[in-house]
Amino acid sequence: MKTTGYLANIMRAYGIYLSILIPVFWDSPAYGIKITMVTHLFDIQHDFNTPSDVAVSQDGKIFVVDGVNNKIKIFNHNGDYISSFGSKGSDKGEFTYPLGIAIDASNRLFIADSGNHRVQVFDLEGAYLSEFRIPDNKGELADPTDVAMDMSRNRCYVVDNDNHYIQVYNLSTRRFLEPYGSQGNDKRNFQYPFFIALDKDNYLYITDVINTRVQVLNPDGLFVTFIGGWGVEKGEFFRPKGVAVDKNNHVYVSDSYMGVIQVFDAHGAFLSAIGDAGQAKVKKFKTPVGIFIDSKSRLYVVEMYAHKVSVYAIGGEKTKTR
Amino acid sequence: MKRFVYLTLFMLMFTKPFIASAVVKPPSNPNSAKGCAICHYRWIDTFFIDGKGTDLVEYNSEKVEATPEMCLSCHDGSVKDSRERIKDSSSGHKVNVKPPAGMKIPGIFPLDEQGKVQCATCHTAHGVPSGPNVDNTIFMRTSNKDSAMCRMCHTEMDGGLKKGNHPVGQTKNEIPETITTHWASTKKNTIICETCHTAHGSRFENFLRINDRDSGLCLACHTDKDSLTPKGKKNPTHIVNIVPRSAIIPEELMDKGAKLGKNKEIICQTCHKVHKNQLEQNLLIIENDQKATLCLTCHLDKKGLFETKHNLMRSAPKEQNLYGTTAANAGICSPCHEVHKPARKLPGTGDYTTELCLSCHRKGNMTKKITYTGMAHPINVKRSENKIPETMAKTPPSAKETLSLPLYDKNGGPNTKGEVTCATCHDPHNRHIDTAANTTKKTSKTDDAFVGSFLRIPPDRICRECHANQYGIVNSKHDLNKSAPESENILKQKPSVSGICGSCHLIHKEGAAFPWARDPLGPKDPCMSCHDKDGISQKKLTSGYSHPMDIAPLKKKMTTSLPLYAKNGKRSNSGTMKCGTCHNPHAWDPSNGFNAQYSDIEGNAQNSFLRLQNSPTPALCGDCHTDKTIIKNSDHNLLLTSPKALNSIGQTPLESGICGVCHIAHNSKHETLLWARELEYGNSIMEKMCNDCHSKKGSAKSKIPAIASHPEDIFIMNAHEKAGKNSKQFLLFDEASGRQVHVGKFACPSCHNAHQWNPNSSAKDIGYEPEGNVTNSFIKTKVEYLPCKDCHGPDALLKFLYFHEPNKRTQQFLFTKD
Repeated sequence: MKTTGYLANIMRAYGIYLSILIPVFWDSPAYGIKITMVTHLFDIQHDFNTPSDVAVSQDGKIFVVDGVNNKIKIFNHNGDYISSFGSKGSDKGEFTYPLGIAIDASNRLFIADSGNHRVQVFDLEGAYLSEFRIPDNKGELADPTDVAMDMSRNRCYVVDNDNHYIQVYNLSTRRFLEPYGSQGNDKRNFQYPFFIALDKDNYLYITDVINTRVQVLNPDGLFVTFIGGWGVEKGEFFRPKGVAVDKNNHVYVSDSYMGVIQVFDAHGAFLSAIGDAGQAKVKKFKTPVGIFIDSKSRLYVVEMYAHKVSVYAIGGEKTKTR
Repeated sequence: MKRFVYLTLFMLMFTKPFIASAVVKPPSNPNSAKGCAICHYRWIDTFFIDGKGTDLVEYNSEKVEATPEMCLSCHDGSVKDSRERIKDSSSGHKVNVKPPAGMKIPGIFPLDEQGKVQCATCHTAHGVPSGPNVDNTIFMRTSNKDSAMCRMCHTEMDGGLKKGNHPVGQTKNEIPETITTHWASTKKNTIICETCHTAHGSRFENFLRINDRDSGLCLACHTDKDSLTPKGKKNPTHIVNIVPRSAIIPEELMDKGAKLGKNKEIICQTCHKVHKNQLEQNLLIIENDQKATLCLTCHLDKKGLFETKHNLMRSAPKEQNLYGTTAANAGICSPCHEVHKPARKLPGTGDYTTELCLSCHRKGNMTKKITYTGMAHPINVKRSENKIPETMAKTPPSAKETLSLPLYDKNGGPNTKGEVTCATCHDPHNRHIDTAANTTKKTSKTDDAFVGSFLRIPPDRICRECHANQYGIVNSKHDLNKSAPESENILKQKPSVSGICGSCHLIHKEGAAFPWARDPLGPKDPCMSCHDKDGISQKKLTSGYSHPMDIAPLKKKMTTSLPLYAKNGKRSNSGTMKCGTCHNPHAWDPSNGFNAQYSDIEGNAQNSFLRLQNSPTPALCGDCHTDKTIIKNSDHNLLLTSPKALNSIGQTPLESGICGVCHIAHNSKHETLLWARELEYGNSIMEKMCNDCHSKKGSAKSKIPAIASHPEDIFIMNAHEKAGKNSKQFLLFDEASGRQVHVGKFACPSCHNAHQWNPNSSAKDIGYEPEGNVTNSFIKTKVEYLPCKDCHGPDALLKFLYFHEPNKRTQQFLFTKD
């Protein structure tokens, strides 16, 4: 392990305590809230039916999980439609209400095909490559809702929503390695984990919907910290859904009911909320779920019941005073 | 596990059931813990205790726990994936709306503060059983077994047929998997509301499970009502899912609740209304009574049936259909049509439309007067192509690209690319009146025949729809309206009654292969029905000698583009010659077939109903006798060399054509070559024929051979013929008859081919100048076939001169006398 990684590991392990020492981020709303300004670039609307997640490839193509249509739709960097693939079914290349999506460094597309209890792998053109069959847990069928890949450890993490844990697979052999976590509300416990993101050190950030938090695990599955908690104040969640980590290891978390996206540091400290450039107020989204931040600091937000993906440029901060 | 979690979340933690209330009150024993507030949003401490909003959200005191937004915040896949079923407000039971006026909502189903329906009106997370089946699925407030819960509010949809609703409950028919797999009743023989509807996740109107704008939902169970059987055969049922062609859906029907398909197609719900119907009778929108009110609502064009013989109330009041009903007690449509089942036995294999007609009009069936065991006019054929002969330069005035008569497919459906059936010409529902003639009442016998025959358009026009190319007959001598108005066909109909076509053709004749309307037909050519000594065309008999008939050109190794006929009268490329081979009885002038002007003048080789003009170019004769047409390039083309010469019937070469100068096809006095001229002097008939022109009085008086006879008493045997060589070089003729013989004497054609000036050239080579010589002069110089060489060898020229040049003849004998 590199020195920087080691230090970061220690910092993460004690992050929650560090957060307490930085009260500015947990201050009363009476003292205001920091806004991370975003500039709206464009919306993508293409006959979506309750889309859930989005990912962007290294060459800038945008992939949207159009779940109830059982399709993956592909757009160029400007949001222009290119193509789609998939249809309802359980054969190779077919889907039953898929939810999550991720792209690995080898330009492979991983789709959490929830209703078929599997993760399917495609190339960027939509050609089927392989799949991970996710086994049930004592009779409870697997419900894979999202997936993330750690190329350095050759691992694939699959969120099993109904079984409340993270399944770890060998990325090459697709062999199951071990589960991370179990049902409950303690450390390494989950109540309906939903989406997952990795930071640049491949730490796991998992939205834990009913526990109303984001749980951070290190690559070995050990508890690092919680981000957020129950409530409607800044730094709290009512329905946390999507999670993304930017190049500064800032963690973005969407809340589908409150309709906001909040930003935290890697230790769980609240930093800001996403706001409209020029308006200096918290931006309201309609049921924001899956989110993604690309290498050009673009923020992609799937607004499920608006049936669209909205795209923003992240930039500038401005303090809003109440 | 999942159920345990739900119960843990929604049952054990929830202590206060959802209670309809107009006033938002704090719970009497507030529990703002996360377990409750996770749905009861207003109970979050920030709102409920602090009474304020936050930087992120506005203050909330509303009861939002039962709103779609709250439900969807978990049912979006993050806890339970119900996206397809509750994705938007249009896909499921309405929420955020007040119940319709008059609908009584039982107290067990609470409305929100505004009296609107919300998710919690039907669902509650507190204290109710939950399971995956339709009876108690997902936290229903009460059991929905057999749609009991649906019926508690939607009482007007209940009660079955007596209340004008689709029946529910036990059914004899098994509900198909296409429906039961959509989460409906697991019972295959019980109809419930959810058999057709789903409260969540429908993509169709009225929350139907399957689209019914294409009758799909109805036909899923009522498979016998589909237009086609699973094997693609026509079901004897009213068609659905097509845009009406002749039927018109009136606004009155739509106003009563009728529905059409996406593209205005007729669907099941065009006639039936499955809920809140005023009529119990099959849930029809309009009563199906004896007056055919239901049928005539759309098929108003069939109303004329009442005034026809097909109104069985009048013509056959005791006739029963397959179900024992008469027109009187089931309506005038019922003898032929039951809407969803066959009204008559259709045992034949013909198309549906024809078979339906024959179910009465076949011998032994109901109609005794008009029965057909066989069809004269062909059915199940494509429309005649109306091909106009190339020789007819003009388009027939009535030729139509689009047929106004209907064609039908095998299943009786109108199809512009379909086939001819009974219903193509006949409209069994109407006595059509000739609106073109503005005839509103029967005024003539033609009207009688027309009206009585259910023809779609009058007989003098209906044939023309397909056979416009035959309408050159109008105003010709074959238009019996003009030439023989008092003549009768075998039905004793005069042309004024039968129409032009009906004078000669019967459309229907029992067992007839050829629809001939005149007697006698027998073995004779149909033309002889009139062109006979007992016929109506006695001026045009074929007495004397005429072109042979019933010969097959193929057998003579001849080809022709003219029609040949099989024994049954139908055209056949391997058939024999009939009158119709050379004559087209429907066009007087082949070059101008549609503008005949009736007159009694005699015809000639340019008209006379010939299929091809035979003058000035011998196109007709030359079609078979191609080797003879070269005569036009010779002195024997009298059009050029003697245009005023007359043949035996007084025709000039232009009138008779080149061939007709010497041959006439009909009524020649001479059997030999159907000679068209007189006979002059000569030793044989062949010489006599040639000498008619090559005589001092003839047109070829400058071409009289000084000596034109071979020494007599020398009989010659044609060795080439015996050797089986070209028989056309048969050069010996019987003196009296002119027939070719094996052993006989020479005649002019022994050495001459009257049709070709230069045997080595067919080019124009009129023989005025220079004078002919031994290499032309109509001589047959292919000497290998000339018997001269057989006898005379190298002396042939000498001997030719001996016979033809007097000053060259010597006393020397040509042949050694024994």
